[in-house]
Amino acid sequence: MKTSVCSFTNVDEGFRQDVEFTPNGVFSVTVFPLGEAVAGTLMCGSLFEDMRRNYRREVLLSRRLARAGVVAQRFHYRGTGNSVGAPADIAWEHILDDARAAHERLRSQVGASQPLGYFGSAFGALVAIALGAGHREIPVALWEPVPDVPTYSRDLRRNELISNLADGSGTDRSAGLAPSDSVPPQIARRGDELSISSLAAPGLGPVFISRRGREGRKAATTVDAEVDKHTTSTTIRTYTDEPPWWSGAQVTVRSAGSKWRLLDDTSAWLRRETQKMSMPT
Amino acid sequence: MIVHEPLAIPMGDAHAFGILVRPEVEGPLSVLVLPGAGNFGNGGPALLGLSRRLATNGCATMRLDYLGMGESTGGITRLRANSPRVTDPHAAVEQLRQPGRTNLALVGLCYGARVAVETALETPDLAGLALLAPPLAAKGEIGASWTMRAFLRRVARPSRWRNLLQPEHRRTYAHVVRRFVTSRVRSRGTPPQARTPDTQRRPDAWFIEALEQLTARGVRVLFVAGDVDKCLADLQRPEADALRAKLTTPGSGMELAVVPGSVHTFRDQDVVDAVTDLVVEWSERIASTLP
Repeated sequence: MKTSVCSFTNVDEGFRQDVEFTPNGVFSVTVFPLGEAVAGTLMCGSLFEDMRRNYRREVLLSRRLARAGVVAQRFHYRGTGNSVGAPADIAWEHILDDARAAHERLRSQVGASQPLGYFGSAFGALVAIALGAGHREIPVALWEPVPDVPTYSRDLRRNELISNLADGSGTDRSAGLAPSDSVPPQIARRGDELSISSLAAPGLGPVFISRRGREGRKAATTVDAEVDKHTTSTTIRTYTDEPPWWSGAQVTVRSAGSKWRLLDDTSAWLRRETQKMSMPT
Repeated sequence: MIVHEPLAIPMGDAHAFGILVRPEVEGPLSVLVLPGAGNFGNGGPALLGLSRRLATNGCATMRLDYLGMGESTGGITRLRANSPRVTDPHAAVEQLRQPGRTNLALVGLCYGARVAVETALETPDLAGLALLAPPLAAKGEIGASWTMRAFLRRVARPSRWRNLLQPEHRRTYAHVVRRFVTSRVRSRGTPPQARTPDTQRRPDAWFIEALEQLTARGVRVLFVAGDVDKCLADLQRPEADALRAKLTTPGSGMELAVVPGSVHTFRDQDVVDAVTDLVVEWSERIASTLP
């Protein structure tokens, strides 16, 4: 695949962003601080229906991280977003391969001595945990982590049902979940194998969990308990001013520079924890 | 072999982001694809798929992320269908034209179709305009709040009642009803004019006049709707008589294509494939008339 790199700088927001397609068609974005970088973070983005809702938040988080001196590496898994491939091609092994390749790109950008952190959003939390398991020196920040694939598939179906009823804007979603918005069968079949309890078993470094509103309390309790079993420390925050997960609100009317606690707290925690890890004990 | 070029389009202090997909040997027609409103752009990945198909067919094609969305920088104010944004689409048109591409077509989905019409009015030498599920009646912000009418319409569907037999659906519906009642109680003090009036659904004259102006300039218009899309129902209203007549008259410069399913959501793969085929075939017809 032929491609080129696009780079642009925003002085006001304090970042430089490089965008490219890798030779195997993965859409890759690296966001650099304008000053010296003190750490790097691999961002495992959300997938399926959550990708539409969370995408801009993740973009803005990567820019906040850069402003805090942390290089942020984002990517779209093959078969999703801007990357090549069809939703039918999505497989857990490909997802992990793409994440590991992004990790290598990040490592080559920040150098061997800089500390790294992982970030995972919704389904991406499972990816971040799978990569971070067994590496207690790597802090992991999670946004609304899904406890396991069966629960997540059920939540996506419920979300669609509620959106059908709640959406008075003229959107007709009678067609149901599109292949790109639902968990594909090849991943759904993995069942409990793809769950926080099994993926985190080798042990995790410090973990930050954020969630929006009070929805999904039962699942949240399960996640907290499972993460707590395997981590050195857990920080949990709830943001009630965030749009609820079922609202279908897709338009994020906030600028990158505006005050946003979810973004500020996540970027500050990742910077602080990566710096702790880089200090000699 | 097609080439993927991520592009940052400078706009003052901000940058609009686009992905240009082009063949190594370009044909005479270039296309700008304008997504709907949304964090990642409604139909974003599917529209990128459309761009790749068009590029394989010889058209250099750019899909734009509006300012404040996707990978672009900047913040956004409310998106209004009755005053669609034009600054970033115009910048994208200029960017697309820079290497000597003169014949352009615009493709817009939903809100992007309104943007495409507004952009087309100020774009000379435009060859074609494809409107995918364009909102004909749009006087408000994208993403209106719940209305009693919309709620009751959805509750009245037979499938909802069938679903009540299943405990999982019952819990979900109970949750929705609680939320709905809460929102209605909270909005009791809201003045009536702040709620969405039914008159919103009248096709607005601006849109219809703009299409007439464009066809008079020789722009070929393709109107694509799904058989469940609201724009198709709006097209049957008396206010849209003239537009409907043109769309169904051969040689008028406008053509209507209806596909099964929802083009508005652009999520069902069969719909995406059908619309992609239609747009590619339409672009081939336009390209065949160009020097």
